[in-house]
Parts: sequence; C-alpha cells; structure tokens
Amino acid sequence: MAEEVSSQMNSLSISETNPSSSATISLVSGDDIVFKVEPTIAKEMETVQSFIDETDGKITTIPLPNISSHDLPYVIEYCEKSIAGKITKEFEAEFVKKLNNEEVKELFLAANYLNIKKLLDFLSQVIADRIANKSVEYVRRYFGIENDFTPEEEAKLREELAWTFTGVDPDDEDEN
Amino acid sequence: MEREMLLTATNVQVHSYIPHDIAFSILSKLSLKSFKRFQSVCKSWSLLFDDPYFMNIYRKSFLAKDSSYYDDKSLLLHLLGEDFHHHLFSLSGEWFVKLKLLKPPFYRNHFEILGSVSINGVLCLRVKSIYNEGKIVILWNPTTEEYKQVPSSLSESISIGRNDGFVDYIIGYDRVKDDYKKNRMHALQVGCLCNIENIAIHLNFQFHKAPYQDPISAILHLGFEITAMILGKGSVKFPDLNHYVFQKLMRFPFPKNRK
Repeated sequence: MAEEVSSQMNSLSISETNPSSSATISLVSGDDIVFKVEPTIAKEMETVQSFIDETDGKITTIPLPNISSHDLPYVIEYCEKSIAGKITKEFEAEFVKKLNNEEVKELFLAANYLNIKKLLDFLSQVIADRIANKSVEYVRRYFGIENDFTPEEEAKLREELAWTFTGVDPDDEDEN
Repeated sequence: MEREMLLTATNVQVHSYIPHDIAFSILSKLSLKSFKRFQSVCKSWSLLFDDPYFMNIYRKSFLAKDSSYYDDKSLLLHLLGEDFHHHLFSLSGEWFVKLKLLKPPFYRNHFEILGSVSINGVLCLRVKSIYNEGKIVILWNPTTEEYKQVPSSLSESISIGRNDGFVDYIIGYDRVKDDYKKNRMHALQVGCLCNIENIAIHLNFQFHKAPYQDPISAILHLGFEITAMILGKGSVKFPDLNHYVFQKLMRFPFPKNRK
C-alpha cells in the first residue's frame, strides 16, 4: 500500500511539471491504468472535481484507488453521454445489459465513491430491478449483510410477511 | 477501508459490501412487495418501515419514477365534495383523462377508505349504510364490483383513529396469534396492506382477477379527506400532488404536455 501511494505521488509531481497535460485530466485506476479525460468529464465526478478545485487546478492526475480499470471506462462512457445529453432509456438498457449483478454492484460503488448522482441513481434502480425477485438469502449475500435475527424472530417475521414470499426466483449460484 | 476495496476490485471472488447508507437508495426504489420481503434480511432493514425519514424517501422515489405509459394504471381519488358527500373517482388512460365516478356498495353519501388489499385492487371501506344509520365495513373490488361485507363482529375491531390526517390506526388481523391488533399507519398508508389482506383471506373473500395484473403500487394518503391510490404496474409522476391540485384536476383534464 505504501509503495502504491508513493508511485501515485510521483505521477502527481510529473503532471505538475508537464504543462502539455493541463488540458486533460488523468484518472489513475486502482490497478494503475491511466485514463485521460476532458475536464468536462471530470466535472461530472464530484469527488474528482473537488480534488481539482482544492489544488486550484494545478494537479491534473487523480489517483482513484477504489476504482478498477474494468469499471472506469463505463463510468467515463456514462459521463460522456450525460454531458452530451444523450442518456436515453435505450442507452441505459444497453449500458447495463452486458454487466452481471456483481459488476453492476462494483459500478454502483464506483459511482458512489466518485459521487456521480445521476449514475448512482440509475444504478440503484438497476439493482432494485435485479434483486426484486431474489430471495432474502441472495440479498444478504449481495449486500454483505449478516442475518442478525434469531431463528424464532425470522420465522415469525416470515410468517407475517408470507404474502411477499410468492414469486421469488430460485437462487442460482452460477448466474454471474 | 480503501485497502479492502482495492483488494475486492482485484479479486472477483470476494463479494464487496454495500454500505448501509447507499443500500437505502436501492431499497427506496423497490416495489412494495419486494421491500416488505427484504424486511427479513436483517433487523435494521426490518425497522425501515417505521422510519419516517426513509419512508419519505421511499414515497418520493415512488412518485418521481419516470413512467411514460399510463395505460395499465388508474388512479383512485377519494374526495370530500363541497356538499360534504364523499366521492370516489377512477382516473385512467393517458394523463388520466378518463374519469369515472365509482359507487361503492351501500353508497349513499359517506364512506372512508380504511385500506386496501395488496392484490387485485380490493379496497376496504367503511360505508354509512343506506339501510340503517350504522356503518358497515366492506371489502370491495371497484373493477369487478364484487364486494363482501365484513361481519360486524370483525368490523367493530376495524377502527380508524385519525390523528392529524397523516397518522391513522387500523386494527389488523394477526394470523400468528389468530387475533386482531392495532397498527399504526404512516403517511404512506402501506403499513396496513398486509393486515387487510389477511382479513380478506380470513373471510375467504373470493374475487375474480382484476385487469390490474400487479399489486396496488401505493396508496397515497394526501391529507385528511383525500386518498389517492395508484393501481397497476409502475407508478405515476405527480411532483406537485396536493389537495389544491387534485381539486383542480377534478374540474379540468390533465394538461397534455405536463412533464
């Protein structure tokens, strides 16, 4: 971890001395892949923009240790569409079609970290739709939540909520 | 924390954890049925229904959901007219321009909506009977016009105690204890759905399937005398829903370009 931080520090100082890179912003993923984006894209990412603002725009290389190089292109794509005003239902449907539930979750966490409200809002709806017919057990695993009910408490609650347990899809371990 | 996230990103086998605060933004977008089911995920989720802050977000999210097609939905309006008579209207079609006056069984001039059964659009009403001065409680499906009277032995225990128009109480049947218990309902009246459904099951209330394939999405309790209900799939966009708007809507059709 310490080494990574220092390597990020290096890249920060490099960008400061390199005026040619000032037009674009370099986003560095957790696995050290650099993505160059227009400043307008960075503006969509509140976390990134506030980082830039804090340093008066001098720093244009932003380390994003929480975001992998797998997720970042999706985030950038969404932001580009958003700026262009081209977020349509069709685009959104296509955007998440190829992502499995774990990938959607990673992207959701990335959007949360970067504080992109539109994407966060959209992905929370996607997740809500995808878990709507899932079992309680699936949702516990998906959210990483421990069952803190006693067996008696849970049985009682399930009895009360029996009408909500119809039409639940069977869990499929390999669905991702 | 950052380290954990980093490890997660590089190792797909590890399931990452969704922090509580942002999990709520997902839960607020669930249908009522799924949301209720996930109350049995953990204790803190089971308490969300009693959390006014969360329920406010849930209600807003419900209303804000963009929906361009309204063809499978209708909106029920329960209004107190200037003559102090209660009226029930069904609004349907695009922008709810189709207006229909509904007459509950035994209807004379006064009834209260106590709640609804969560499937097939069945309402639980308390109606001032045309046959005597007393009030009777009925289960009624406005679509098929079927109804069943709740026996007075049961209906006496279904009572509503209005507080400020946003907090109601209803007696619901508890199948576990085979008894009736008092439940508090919130501005979003959904808390009672399951209980009235249980009463319907208890009474063996039979009804044909309504054209609405989906459970009632929400009941909006809009104040002391107005109850609006959204039936059917999805939800309806009504950012400025209030008493005044509804009174106006009763006289004028929806503007076509309202968005």
